[in-house]
Amino acid sequence: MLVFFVPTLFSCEQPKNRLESKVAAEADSIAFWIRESKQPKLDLAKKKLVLQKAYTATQEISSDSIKNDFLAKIAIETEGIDYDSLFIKVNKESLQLALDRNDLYTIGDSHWNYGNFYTDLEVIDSAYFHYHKAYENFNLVKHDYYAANMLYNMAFIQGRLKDYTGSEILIFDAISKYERTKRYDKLYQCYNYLGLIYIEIEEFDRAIFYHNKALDYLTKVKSKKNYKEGSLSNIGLTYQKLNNYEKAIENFEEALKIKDLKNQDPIFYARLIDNIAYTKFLRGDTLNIVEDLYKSLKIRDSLKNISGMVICKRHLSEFYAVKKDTILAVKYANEAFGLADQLENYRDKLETLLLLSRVDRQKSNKYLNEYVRISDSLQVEDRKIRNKFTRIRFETDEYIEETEKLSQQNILILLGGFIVIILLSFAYAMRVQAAKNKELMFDKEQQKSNQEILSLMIKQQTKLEEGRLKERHRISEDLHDGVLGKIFGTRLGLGFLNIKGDKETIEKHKNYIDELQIIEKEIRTISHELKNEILSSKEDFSKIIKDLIEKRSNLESFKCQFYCDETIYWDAINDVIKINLYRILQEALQNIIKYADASYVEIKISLINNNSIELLVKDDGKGFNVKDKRKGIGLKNMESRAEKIDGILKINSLKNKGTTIFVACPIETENNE
Amino acid sequence: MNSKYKVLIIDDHPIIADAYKSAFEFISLENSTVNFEISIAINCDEAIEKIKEASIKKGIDVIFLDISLPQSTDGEYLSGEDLGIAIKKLLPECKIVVATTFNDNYRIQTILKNVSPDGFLIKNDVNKDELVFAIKTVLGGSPYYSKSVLELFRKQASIDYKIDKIDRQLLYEMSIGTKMKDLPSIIPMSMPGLERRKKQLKKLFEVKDNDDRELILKAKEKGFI
Repeated sequence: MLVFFVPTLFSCEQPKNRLESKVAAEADSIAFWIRESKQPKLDLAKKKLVLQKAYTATQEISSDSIKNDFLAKIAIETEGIDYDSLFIKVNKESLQLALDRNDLYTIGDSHWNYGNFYTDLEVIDSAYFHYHKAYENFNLVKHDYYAANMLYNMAFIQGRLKDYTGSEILIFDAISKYERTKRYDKLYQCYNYLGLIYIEIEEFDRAIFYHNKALDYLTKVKSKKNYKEGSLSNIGLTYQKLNNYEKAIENFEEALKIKDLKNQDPIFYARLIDNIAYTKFLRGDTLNIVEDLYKSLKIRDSLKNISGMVICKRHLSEFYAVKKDTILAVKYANEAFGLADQLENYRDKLETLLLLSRVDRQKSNKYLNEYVRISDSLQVEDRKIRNKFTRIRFETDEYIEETEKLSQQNILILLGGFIVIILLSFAYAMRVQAAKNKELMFDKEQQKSNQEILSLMIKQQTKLEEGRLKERHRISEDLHDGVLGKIFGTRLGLGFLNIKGDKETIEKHKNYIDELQIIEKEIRTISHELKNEILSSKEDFSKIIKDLIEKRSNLESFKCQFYCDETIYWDAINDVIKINLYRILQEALQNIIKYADASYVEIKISLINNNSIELLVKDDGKGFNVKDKRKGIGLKNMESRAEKIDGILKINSLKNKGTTIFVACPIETENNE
Repeated sequence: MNSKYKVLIIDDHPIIADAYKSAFEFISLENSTVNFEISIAINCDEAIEKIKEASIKKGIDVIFLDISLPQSTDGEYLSGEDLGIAIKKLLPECKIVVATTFNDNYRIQTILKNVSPDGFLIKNDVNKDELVFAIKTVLGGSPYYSKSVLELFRKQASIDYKIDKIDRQLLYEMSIGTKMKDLPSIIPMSMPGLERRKKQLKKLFEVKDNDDRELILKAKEKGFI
């Protein structure tokens, strides 16, 4: 029996400027036709024609996205004017194209159109389904405003089926989205709707609270329309329900203050008059009530506002029932029932049946039975549809759950993969490290064995040399002592031989003896030379270094000054030290040849305090940056060699100022005599 | 002047001993008043036996002594040099003629110092006539030195180096290629001591560059080895 100011469903809005101006003439004409169809002056048939033209033209467009855009627009317009045949075609095509292009926004748009379409046809389960689809898509593209619109529409449908809790939940969802987009007009409507829901579930205080909140938001809205008056009317009704008739009338009358309401919105005006009169009747007034009710009825009748007429007639029936005019009461009640039946408005029918059972006492049972029957069938119907909605949402929930599960799984897989990768790379790093260590150890061992080989070689060389020397010595001695002696003896013996013969023979004899003496001399010389040769093969370590330097400096044309402390007794110095010093020097010279481009190199080996040896290699070449972390293998080698002999290695270098390499290492010393 | 000389020839080469013998025979053939009683020893054992025997009995007038001889079995006499020292002691009157193939200065010097022979023949210098002349000179009471020995004297007289026995020995060992590290076992000195000596010798002979070979060559040139 209540008449609310109920906002309508939100319809699609025209997407703004989604088309750029750079479209072909064809597109221009389509846009023109669509604009044309919006002209309020144009009659329906003309509009249909224009839209049909626009649709035909879209078939020529090759670009899918542009075509889709136009189709969506045409769908909105055709739906708006209930041009169903074209709408079904266009919207279907638009949805298909959008699906092909995976354009979620347009998919949502198409579903929205469907939702509106089915709402018009009162196929509310389909409508709900499409709003839900639209909501999903808008949610995916994060279009909060449209998603909220869909939620509102769904809440509206659920509210119609008396699923107030579900409706409330959806409205709150919508509110949070509108808050984000700061759409105060929509927020007003949401709170207004919440207020209506609370009236339905008879929590009037909260209903008033929400209506007031709605009014708060309304102050921020520019285009207020009749919202304020609607809210006031709703608040008035709530107070009426609370039996606070004074307040109720106060609100209704405030709503009536809009001067032009009678002309601007006569239905609303009639409703307000009816409401005031009925409230006064409830308060116990009798004055002017019938007149006002008839006035309202007259306005509604003239406007063919049947639902309003039902309410007016019910109120009249009640009024006459109180006045004990049963005939009139039953008459109005029956009329109201007839009109409600015509509207197929079950709510009104039920209310009127209840009224009839009260005013027509004789048929009271019949009416009550009918009431129960209709109300039962309605509840069953409602429940069915509600279940359907739940299913629709549940399927989505299931889908979401599935997706969440999948994404969780994905995360798990990702995490697992990540851990595995980390573990693998860690293992790899360990392996590399181990290999490096091994290599290092191997290197070290190799170096050690190299050194051993070297000193062995040196020893071998000396042994060989010694053997050679001994052999030479032996030959020399044999020649000297043995052969020489024998020849000498033979020569003398021959000399004392009394040769008989002529003078010539004796002379010859003498010559031979002299010849023998010359041979002796030669043998002696050979013997001596064999011994002397020995000296040249005996070489000092400094001589080895000198040879190295000479060889290197010949290779590259730099002058080389070499000084070696003569007091160093190299034979007493450990081979390891000698080898490493030699190698360091070799490396240093190598570097000079390779990089320094030096013209003068100074090499100095000196004995310090009789307990350490210093090697200095100085060049005047290009130099390098000592601080550079990337040390060459050569420098590293020098360092490790210096370390090996407990020495220190210092390298000083300046760009273009040359390089100085300094090595100092301790030597073991024997006590002086 | 009818005289008879007892002669001992010590040489491990029979052919040489025979040659010496020929020389003495040649002299007695030239001059019948001079006679020689010649005996030969071909190693140290034989030689020392004969020397000892002679020192008790009749003595020996002239001994021809070779330096490079096989050493005695008891190891007491390593060479003719040791025999010479023994002869000096046992037969102070005996005239010693050292005949050797050695012509290096160091050995000659040490032999001159230790044995102080009446005659010193470097075998290569000697031929038949010179040998005969040498024997005659020594028998006549004058010393005889062959060409190489005289040359050495001349060289030594012309320089004034203070080189002692150890210096000489060091130079000698170096010249025959003995390793420095083996030297302390031959020369009774520590290694640094020897090094110092070597350094001083280099300074003395004006050798630069720490070059041992240079030092030996210089020392040889100057007649120290």
